[in-house]
Amino acid sequence: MLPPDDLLPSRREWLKLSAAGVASASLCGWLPAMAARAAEEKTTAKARAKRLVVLWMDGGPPHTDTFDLKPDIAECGIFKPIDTITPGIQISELLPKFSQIIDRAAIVRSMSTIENEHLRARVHLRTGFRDGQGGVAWPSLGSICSQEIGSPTADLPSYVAIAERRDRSHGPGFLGTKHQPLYVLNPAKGVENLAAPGTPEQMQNRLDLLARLESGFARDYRAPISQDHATVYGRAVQMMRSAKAKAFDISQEPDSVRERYGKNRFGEGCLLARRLLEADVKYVEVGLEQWDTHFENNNKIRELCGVLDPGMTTFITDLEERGLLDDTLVVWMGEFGRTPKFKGKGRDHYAKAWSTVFMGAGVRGGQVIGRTDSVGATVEDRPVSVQDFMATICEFLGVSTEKEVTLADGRPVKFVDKDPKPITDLLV
Amino acid sequence: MATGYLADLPRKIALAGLAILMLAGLILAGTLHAEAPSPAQVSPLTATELAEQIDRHVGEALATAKIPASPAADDAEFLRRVYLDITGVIPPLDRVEAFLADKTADKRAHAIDDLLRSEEYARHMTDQWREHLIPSTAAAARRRHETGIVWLEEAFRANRPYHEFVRAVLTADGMQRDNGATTFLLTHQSLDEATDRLSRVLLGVQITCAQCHDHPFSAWKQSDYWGTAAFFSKVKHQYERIDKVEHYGVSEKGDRKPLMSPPSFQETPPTFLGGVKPTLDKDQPYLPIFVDWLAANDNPYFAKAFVNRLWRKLMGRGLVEPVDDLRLDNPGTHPELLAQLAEQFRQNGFDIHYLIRAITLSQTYQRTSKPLDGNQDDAQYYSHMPIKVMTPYGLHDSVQIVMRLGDAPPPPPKEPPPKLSDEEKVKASIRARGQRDSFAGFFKGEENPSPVAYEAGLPQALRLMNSQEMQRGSRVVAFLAKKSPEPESIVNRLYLAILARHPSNEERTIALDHIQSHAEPTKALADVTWALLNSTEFVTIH
Repeated sequence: MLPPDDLLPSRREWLKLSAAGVASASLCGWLPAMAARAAEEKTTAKARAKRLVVLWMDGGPPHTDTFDLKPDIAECGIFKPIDTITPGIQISELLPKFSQIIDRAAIVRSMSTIENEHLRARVHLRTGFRDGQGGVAWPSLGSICSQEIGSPTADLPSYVAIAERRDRSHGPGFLGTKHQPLYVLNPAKGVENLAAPGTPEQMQNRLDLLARLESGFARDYRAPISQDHATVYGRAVQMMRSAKAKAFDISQEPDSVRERYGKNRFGEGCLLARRLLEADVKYVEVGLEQWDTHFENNNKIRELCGVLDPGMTTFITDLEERGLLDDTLVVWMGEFGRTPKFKGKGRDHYAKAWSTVFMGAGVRGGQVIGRTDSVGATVEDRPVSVQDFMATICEFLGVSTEKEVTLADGRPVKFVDKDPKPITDLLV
Repeated sequence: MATGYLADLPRKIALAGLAILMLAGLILAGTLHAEAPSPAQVSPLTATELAEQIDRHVGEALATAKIPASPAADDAEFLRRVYLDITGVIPPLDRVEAFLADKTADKRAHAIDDLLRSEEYARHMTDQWREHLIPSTAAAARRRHETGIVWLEEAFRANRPYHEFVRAVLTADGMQRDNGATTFLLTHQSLDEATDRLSRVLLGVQITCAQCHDHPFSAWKQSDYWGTAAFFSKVKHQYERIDKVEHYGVSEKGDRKPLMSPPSFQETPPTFLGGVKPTLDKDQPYLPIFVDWLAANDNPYFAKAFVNRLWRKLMGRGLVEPVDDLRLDNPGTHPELLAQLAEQFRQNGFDIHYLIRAITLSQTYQRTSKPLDGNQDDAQYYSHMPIKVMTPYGLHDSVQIVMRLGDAPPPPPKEPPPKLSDEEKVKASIRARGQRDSFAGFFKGEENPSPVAYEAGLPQALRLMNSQEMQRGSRVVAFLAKKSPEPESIVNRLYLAILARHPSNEERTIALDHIQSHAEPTKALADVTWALLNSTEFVTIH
């Protein structure tokens, strides 16, 4: 696991590399191995999507207030369904703008998963496995994208998460540190501390000094951690030096565009996502938090949908106008749904039946897949398990669900749990 | 190892084996309760004696596995490690210089005792335990935490025995303004949330999955889950509004609504793990009875859970992993050692200082992190100390320790110290924590991460390289130059101040070369400061 001495760059080699402007690459270059080495071959299956955006509704959005209303059952909610641009499909009155582009969206009303606690469910939905299943640290979808469709030499990281809440469900698991997300906490501020103080030469001087002073510790302690550290620094330096980094600055957008997306964290996150897709980032997650409405549901949902509706609608139409929607898959989801009946004024977690929405990348819009019962409590048609869901996304991305990855302990595993049934209707 | 082993077996055989294990587990669990071993049979050991026992257990396992042990860490490696492990920060320059110059034989033991008495120890323990006891949920964020944090600080400052600490947390009764220990039950909104977290933290068991179904791969049943949950069934959040200010509290008495129950709720009488149902008075609180069971001599989980968590924090890896998965079919790497540590922790009155002292005094703890050819792949026999990663709090506080060298010395503490009201204490705590919390909040990864997992991402690298606070190296250099302006002396003391050791000859040469090739020596020395703060060695505990 440790770099043999002759793999560490000598000072001269280091300077040579630095002079050629590839200091960052060389910072990674002396890192021979990851904890688990993924298969050499990258994904080869035919990909419909070159990029993926997940609009992540953290806390769990109530399906019966958004995309699967039960107007005949008074206990299921107070919000009314409205007609959409597609005859026969109704969604919540809280999403009037989105109702006008529902012909670009396929609603899946039959998600049925098994984790009801936030962290476990976030791990479940982001990785496709139960937390700790088989004693394996499973990679998140973003990390899989980074590994399978990202470029290790790209200036910007392949995986960006615009999220207030960060935890291991976003993590790279066995794919290792280089597939970690770059988090953006506040999309209006972009990435903090991106500019180096002083001149580029001064910075290069410091980096050279750092690399030389690092070698003693790496040698004496034979620590893989030195490699992880150098990987992260290498990526950081490359990003600092890239012209593409201006994608993180949404202040360069005209005010009219910013107004259309919404001047709030989610709207700004969607706008930032569009800029990042244009800069060749492969996976962007945009978070809209606070769907965990145990105590008070209706006012909170009204408020959240007021932010969601313009943000998501503008995002999809903007991608379409820029020609990006054809090969970008966009998924709207949370970690679970919420109980269709109220508990007091609120709704609890509910994984047994809930909704997601798929858009772009050849998804046939204006259709509903799956069905819940009359009270939104159980799935009656086409249940979608977490592995079905993951396999569907993998299929769009051209990531094979059959490919085996060998872990450090020699065990072969796959990116998707066994017996997945992708939602083929999405493409009909 | 167990899962790997089982994975290699045909599934049927594996399942049959598991069934036998589970059955054995049930029988054993039953006997543990029926015939508790008399505690008087084992006499208490001193911390030094227990340290010897640690080395004996670890040494025997190493010998059996034929793995050589690395030699002892030198004074510099030991001091930095024990500072970071006990107080969460690197040792300040003056302490490093004094310790390296000290010739007394028992200076390591003295250093450990000093650190356990320090304010930084209480702060560091509080950082860990507020994460254990306060959920990071939106609902918990709506309650005040400060009084709970101040309560934790006081508990660790006074080295409150662990069982009494837990009793105070679980049986807290009253309003938060009067009793900070109410904060923990107050930040849990539902019965399952409290059961999940507290069983995981205090018992070191994962019964969460049994909430909805019998756990397929361990002995936990739904009745275990809801039987434990039932002890929390009388907990009620209290609320009052006085002069337009909202106050919250916790009580098992009164007629307010109990914690919410999830849809999976199953009515079960209060039952201890293992199946014993205590006789309870329905009109009296349940949790005191639960705590009696926790702290009882024959409780098979409570002491072990704490010992295993502390061991993992200090040694990088739990004796049982995952750290919160104690069960009979997951005995871990050194089951006899874990049992003895737990027994002695109990025998010594659940004294947390005692346990830390025993572990850090052991040769096992004091080995270098530098591997040998024969042990570099070992990750479970403690042949050498694993390299751990600084927590975000540790990183923040350690950068401060270095950067403050350039600051004017703080005013001497007032004698006698001013008597602060509770309100003032809370305010002072918030002031002191504000900056640390925002720094740590930015870098904090998952809850309860492995101590050896490197989780730093791009934001941390960018911050350590580019932020304004990291550009103050020249002030540190100016401070060090006051004593001796020679570049070599400054380089030497920069190493002591940042990495708590002298530079190697090779490193000294690299640094001096850099300074000589630079027009402005002060700026070149600031570069050295910057490089050391951005090094792998700085962000790790070795």
